[in-house]
Amino acid sequence: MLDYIFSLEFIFAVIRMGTPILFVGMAAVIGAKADILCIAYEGMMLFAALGGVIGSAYSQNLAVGAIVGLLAGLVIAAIFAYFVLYLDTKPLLTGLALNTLGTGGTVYVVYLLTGMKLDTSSLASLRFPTIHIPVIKDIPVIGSIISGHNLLSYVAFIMVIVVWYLVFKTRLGLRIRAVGEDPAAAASVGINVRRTKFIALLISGLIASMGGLFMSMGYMPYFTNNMTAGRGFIGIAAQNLGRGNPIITMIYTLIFGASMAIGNTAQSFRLPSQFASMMPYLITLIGLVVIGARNKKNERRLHESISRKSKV
Amino acid sequence: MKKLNKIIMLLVAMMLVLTACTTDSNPQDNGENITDETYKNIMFVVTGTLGGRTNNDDVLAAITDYVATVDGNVDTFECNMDASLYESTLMQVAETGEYDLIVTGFGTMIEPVSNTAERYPDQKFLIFDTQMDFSNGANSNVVSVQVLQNEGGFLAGALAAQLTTSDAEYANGDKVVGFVGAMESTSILDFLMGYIEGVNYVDPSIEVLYSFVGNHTDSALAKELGLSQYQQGADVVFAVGQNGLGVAEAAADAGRYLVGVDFDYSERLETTNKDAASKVLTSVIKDYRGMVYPMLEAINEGTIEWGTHSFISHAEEGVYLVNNDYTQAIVPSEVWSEYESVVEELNSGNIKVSTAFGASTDEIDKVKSEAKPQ
Repeated sequence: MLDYIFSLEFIFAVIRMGTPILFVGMAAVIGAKADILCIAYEGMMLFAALGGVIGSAYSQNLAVGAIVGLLAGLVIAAIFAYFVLYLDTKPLLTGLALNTLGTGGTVYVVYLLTGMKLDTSSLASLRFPTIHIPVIKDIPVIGSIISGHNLLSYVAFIMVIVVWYLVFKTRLGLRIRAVGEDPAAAASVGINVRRTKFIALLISGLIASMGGLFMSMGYMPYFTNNMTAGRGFIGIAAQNLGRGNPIITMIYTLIFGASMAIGNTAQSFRLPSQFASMMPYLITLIGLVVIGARNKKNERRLHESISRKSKV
Repeated sequence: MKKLNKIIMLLVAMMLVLTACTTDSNPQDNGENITDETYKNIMFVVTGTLGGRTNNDDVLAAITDYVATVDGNVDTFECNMDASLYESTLMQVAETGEYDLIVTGFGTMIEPVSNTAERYPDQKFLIFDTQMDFSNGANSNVVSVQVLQNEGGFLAGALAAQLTTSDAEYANGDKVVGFVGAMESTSILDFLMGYIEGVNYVDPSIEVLYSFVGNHTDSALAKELGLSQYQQGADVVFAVGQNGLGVAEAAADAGRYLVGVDFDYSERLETTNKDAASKVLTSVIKDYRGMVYPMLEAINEGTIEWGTHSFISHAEEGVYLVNNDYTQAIVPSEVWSEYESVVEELNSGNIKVSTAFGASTDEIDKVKSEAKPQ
């Protein structure tokens, strides 16, 4: 067991399993900065996953497939944003509805196209290539760790930097944070709150859609019925544990990936399978308790210092 | 004027409701059909969906062929895996009394069928791929039928064990084979028990790794579990469940062998993913047509007793292993002849394979513990 954790296969498994969660985590970071509770990432991912397969199968062009997939996910994000921001529906219910649409609607489209309801294995869709980085791959140890992943896995890690830069270093990021923290104050200085939130949700949807593309065009070569299987929610959990910080969120997605990889291998050592599938959720729960306790402590310390000052 | 419109609308609505009631609460007329002992009108209540080239489609084909011979009719209702619909649908169908026979299947339907059968004793039921409880005269208007799928698992295990020690192209030196199941359900455990016993029949010193995805949809996680077993030295993995395509992907990545289930994996994959198809050793297929069609005929001819369970064995072709060009390309000829002698032995009834159906947890755990090398 221990030699597995220190093996190259383990690191690859963590990155493979972490990639879709990392995309959703980054999407959720932007959503959280704009202060919108979006749980529709499952639906966006499913539609993007299916869109990518259909686009690439019929055009036999990877770029076309990627664009069709991203657009499919973006449509769901736009529907969510329009309903929540302009029609004032409850974000939680809207998200639930779109997730249900994602599981049911994609199966319907698959059935229309292939006459089958379980998967698209009969469509000759393309997948993103595995990248062997020229010079780096020849460096011992580090080379074999860094090189040889799917293109989208690299994109996911680059996305962490992009999101960090977007949120903290650009004017749009500043506006997103402003409308998220205090919409009234942001509006008073002339920021269009709704439009800014709309843009934030579209960017968020675009990133989540890349996670969907990875599922059906990297991880697996086809779309299978409800293939995201809760990854959209684990990504949101990672964002919550990372408290909106892209770097810490990334660390949590890797912890999730590692716990799943360990759980998978532990099954062969007769750990009950139910325990293995429980792992990511258990970690989330523990993490939330730790964060909650720390917040409480900080609050108490703040109170104490205030009361001490008032006595003086 | 507007008020008058509203009143008329109300009246129309009430009439609709009333007519709906009268058609529903009139089972006596149709009740005579049932005592006729001809089974023409059949309702097929599908737990999942039709149209995926799935088991349910094979069952529907069997029913369609059967009703053509008796000049009957078949209707279907798809529950889309929504378990809350199972019992209410059965109750509603039985309430109409229009159907001579209700056909449905799988273990999740045991309780709904049992409850409905008790409430509508004149309605007849056929439930496939699972076993009902007929003790103390319960469910006396139901017949259940099952194939001995554990025999399919046994043969898959025997072939896997023979291949792992052979000099087949992608076999390694390790005496390890694998099993990835979708869930720890009775049906999948039944395959696992047969598989372990098949491996041990050939060579008890071979280890069987087994893991479960925990659901039927996560094909990516199935791939991960498959990869993990291949890394631990398994050169053949038996994938049981709807997410088996994920394990096929792992086999292609790892360059090792796969045994599929339910449909011919190599045939499904060969047009789009030749590499994965070439790693498919065989697929264990339960013949749902072969399971349901003879039962329908037996019911119509009255040769079957209500309130009984039937098994269809490997020798009776209820379950079989695919043997196509891919199989022959992978398996060395001397291994194949060894395998065929195991098949003969099984068909002659000399081998008794353990089953998870009706077994206690201890009995299942005992077979699981035999997965370790002995």
